[in-house]
Amino acid sequence: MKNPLMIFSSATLLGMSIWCASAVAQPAEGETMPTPRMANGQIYLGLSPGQKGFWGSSGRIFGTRGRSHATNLEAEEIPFQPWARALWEYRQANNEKDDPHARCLPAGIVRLIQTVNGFQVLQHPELNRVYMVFGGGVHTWRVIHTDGRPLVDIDDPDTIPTYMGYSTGHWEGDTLVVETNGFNEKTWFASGSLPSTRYLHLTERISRPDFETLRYEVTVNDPGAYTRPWTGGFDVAWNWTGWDGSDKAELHEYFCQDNNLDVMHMTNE
Amino acid sequence: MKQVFRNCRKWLLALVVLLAAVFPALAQEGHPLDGTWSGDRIVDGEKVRVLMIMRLLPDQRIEGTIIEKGVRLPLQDVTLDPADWSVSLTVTGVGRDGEEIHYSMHGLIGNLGSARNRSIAGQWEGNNAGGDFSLELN
Repeated sequence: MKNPLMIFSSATLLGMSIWCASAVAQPAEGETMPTPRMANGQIYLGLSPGQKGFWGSSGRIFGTRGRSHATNLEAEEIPFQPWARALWEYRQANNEKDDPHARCLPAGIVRLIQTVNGFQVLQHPELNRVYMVFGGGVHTWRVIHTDGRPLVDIDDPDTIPTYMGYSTGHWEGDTLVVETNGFNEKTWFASGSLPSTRYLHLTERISRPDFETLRYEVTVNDPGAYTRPWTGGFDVAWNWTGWDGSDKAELHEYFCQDNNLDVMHMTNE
Repeated sequence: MKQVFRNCRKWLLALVVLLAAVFPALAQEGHPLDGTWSGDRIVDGEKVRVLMIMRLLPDQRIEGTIIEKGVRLPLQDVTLDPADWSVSLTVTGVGRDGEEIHYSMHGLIGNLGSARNRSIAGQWEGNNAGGDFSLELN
């Protein structure tokens, strides 16, 4: 290594390697990284340039276990309409054996965020859209329009109710506030077999207090199934590695429909 | 002209019944009664094809319509008791030939958890008659 050119090249390569590694470095144990921001100051809710990873483990919108918020209602506090409480209790008593999600049917928007296999948030301010790409369930995506459009009129016969409804979002500081209505009644909209009706209107508040935490809060307003609006939420953790433990840290290919063996195990025993 | 309307009504009813029979059941995970139901009401030992549409209103009332023999009648006093998932309703109106129709239906929801094979079965009574009925969610 006496050749000055070789020494310079090696030093340059070493330096570049360190720089590249630092660009995707994860924080040391107990440390936090700041929330990533765009040039215009808007926060990244998901993947940011030079980084890797995706959102993974989450919690529930009721109860306080794990990443669920400490302010959540307990199950017995949820303001169910009488029929909705009875249906929820029936589902719980049967170990959620009729869960449509287990049959690879599309899930509701809260449930998708809670589903294993993770998700990514992709912001496109130039397109006035935020996409949420889900690795789990039926491997689908969701569009949140940020062009100020109004919610749909669910009483308009031309409004076709959909699995994920129609979402319109806006920023309040560092929080993306998303209003969604126009749902069909074919899903359990959130983890925990909660019933809903066509009158469901969700208000989600999504923020990122630090690099590794997505804070998710949703207000459920559905006079068909609940006697009053109620709010719950959870935090979602950032995954630095793939599910196989590798450093690829990308949503992997997963299709519920392929070799779905869960259904035969869905019994009330 | 009246005959033309009657024929149209028959064709429309036939179309609705055909669609209900041909299309696979659509999942319905909301209010257990909400949706389109089809089945039979046994009248004088004969099966009468029935199509019933029920819809939950935000104030928890359930509005609906029953169609049988080409006549569409409103459902009244639809109740669901979640204690045992029993269903009650009343049908009142005027039949095809001007006759008064008044009967009530009382049944139980079956396969509650299944959004695809849910059913209501029970008895109807009225106009000094009665019998069984059974419906499946379409």
